[in-house]
Amino acid sequence: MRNIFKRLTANEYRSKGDTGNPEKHPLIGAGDFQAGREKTPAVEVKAVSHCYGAGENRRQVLFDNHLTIHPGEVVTMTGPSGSGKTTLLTLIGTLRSLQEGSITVYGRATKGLSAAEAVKIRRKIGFIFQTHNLFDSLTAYENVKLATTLADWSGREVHGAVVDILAAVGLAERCSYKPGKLSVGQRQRVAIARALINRPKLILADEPTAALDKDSGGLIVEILREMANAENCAVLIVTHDNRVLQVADRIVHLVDGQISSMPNMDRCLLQAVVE
Amino acid sequence: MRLELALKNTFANRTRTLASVCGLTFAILLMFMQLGFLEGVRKGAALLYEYLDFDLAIVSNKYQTMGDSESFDRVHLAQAMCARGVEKGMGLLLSQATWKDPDNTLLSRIIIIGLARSPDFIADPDIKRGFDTIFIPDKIMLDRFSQPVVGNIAIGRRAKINGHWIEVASHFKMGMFFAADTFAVMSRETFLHLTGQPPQDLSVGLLKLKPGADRGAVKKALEKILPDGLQVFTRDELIGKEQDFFISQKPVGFMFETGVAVAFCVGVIFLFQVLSVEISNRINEYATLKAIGFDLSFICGVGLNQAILFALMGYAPSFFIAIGLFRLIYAVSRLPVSMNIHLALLVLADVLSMCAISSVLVLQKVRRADPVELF
Repeated sequence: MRNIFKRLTANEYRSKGDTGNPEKHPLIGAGDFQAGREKTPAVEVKAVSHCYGAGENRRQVLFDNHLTIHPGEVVTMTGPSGSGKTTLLTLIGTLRSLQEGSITVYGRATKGLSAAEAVKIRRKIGFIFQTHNLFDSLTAYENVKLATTLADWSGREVHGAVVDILAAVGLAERCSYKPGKLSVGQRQRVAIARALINRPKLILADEPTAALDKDSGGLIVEILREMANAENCAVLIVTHDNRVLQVADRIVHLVDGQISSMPNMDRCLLQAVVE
Repeated sequence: MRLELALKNTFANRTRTLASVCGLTFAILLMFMQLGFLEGVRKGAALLYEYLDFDLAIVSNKYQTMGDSESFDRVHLAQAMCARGVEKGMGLLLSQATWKDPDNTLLSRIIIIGLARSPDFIADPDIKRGFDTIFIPDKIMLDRFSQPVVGNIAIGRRAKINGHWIEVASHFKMGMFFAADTFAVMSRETFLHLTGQPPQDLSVGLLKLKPGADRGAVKKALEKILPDGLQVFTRDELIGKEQDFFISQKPVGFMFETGVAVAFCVGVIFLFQVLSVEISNRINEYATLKAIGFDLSFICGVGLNQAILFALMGYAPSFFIAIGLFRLIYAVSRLPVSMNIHLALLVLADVLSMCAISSVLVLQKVRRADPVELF
């Protein structure tokens, strides 16, 4: 399998100080990353409950959930519609305020964060949405380059990195195309390149393959798996797609707002559950 | 990247952008025209005093404007001329009158100006050139930019002022159509003959000071010497008072100021709509930017840059169209309207305010864009 980041090796990547250097990584405490990356979970969810509305309209969607995801691990989250998957994903991604329980992302507690602190954390997370949400006025290259303004890239590095990551998602020949000239699968791959360009240590994906054909979906699953392997980042994917389930290290099932981990569950059985 | 994104977003749909720019051009052109008219009225209002060379002016307390001035005894001009620092003086006679062209039955409103034979007080080259011609009895110098209702104004043409026959001997340029249909300059003697005013009366006493004399000190001294019914103005003060009368007290100023305000509001509303459509079409993209860690200032900066781009694209053509229209208006009406740096900057400042207001309103949408809704 090809390496997603051809231009920068893992050592060079660490020397950039963006994510590889523990002392400079805002989400990782000093010493955690190199001395014991397994010691600090990428995500730790403890006793998380969540409600929508107030008064008579108050509706609880999450009940006392616990989940730990380690660096390098690909975890898929399945469950019926309305079971609370997306709510949990958005809580981990600091897009919602935590009401009850605690969530830490690389040791950083997300409860009670100010808006500015939440933005800082989100800059270190790669978000992949079901819809690509690319700027139709920008080319594939420019859409990915836009995300580099969030990290400390030097001008010279940016061009190579953007071209490489677009090549890695199979769009080397489509750099100068605007989203309108790309297929749905290609657009989603651009969105993934945008999510991965800053080498996030945590990737949160919501149905990333839902609108894609078999080949495009397969390629995206492969990319996410390789990202976890090569960059030791944690990946949490909300999905109903069997292709994704097959590459997962662990599958968690969420029913009626409660997680039931199924580490040893037979994938065929799971497939039946999902279907 | 903020400006680059704003540029690319702005030009992504060229047809829509062109339509938006056309609308904004029209709104900004309206602002140029209204402010240009206002500036024209301001300039035109004091044109007579711009044509005269003096340091201080004495007028009655009841003086409103050159067309509505209360006269005072010329002995007070003589009194002022004796003051320390004053070099010489000239009496200026002003009055409204009627003009009757023999070829039509219409009566025109005219302002007549009577001058003493003191060419030192004349600054305008046209009046200087024809100055001698007005000292022949019943010969006058007529405004070349008279309204058509005045009729034929050729040199040698005879018409009646206040029922007395006069003859046009020369021309000068005034064109203050909002104050009167035409202006006529004549000798003091002809003026007194046409109006029947007592010879000792004056409308304005003009004074020139000796070189090095302190204008403020002489003004203060004159205010002490002269009786209470008179007031002393410097040249700039008198011009300011004249302009203020037309801008603040006559409906013409209010009319154009209202026009500017309406044009400004039209611009704000139009720009708001253009930006609103632009932002609404990309609200998911902006929400995505928020989700992946762009702060609100970056996203609002993109919106603000787009507002400025739209406004500047509307400003540039309206600037050039306004220059053409001002020339046309001046040729037709002789209202002294023209493009100048002050007007250009004033409209630019208005346009930038327009951007700021419409951006603040429309960017509330971006502020409310919730990235959670993307999931």
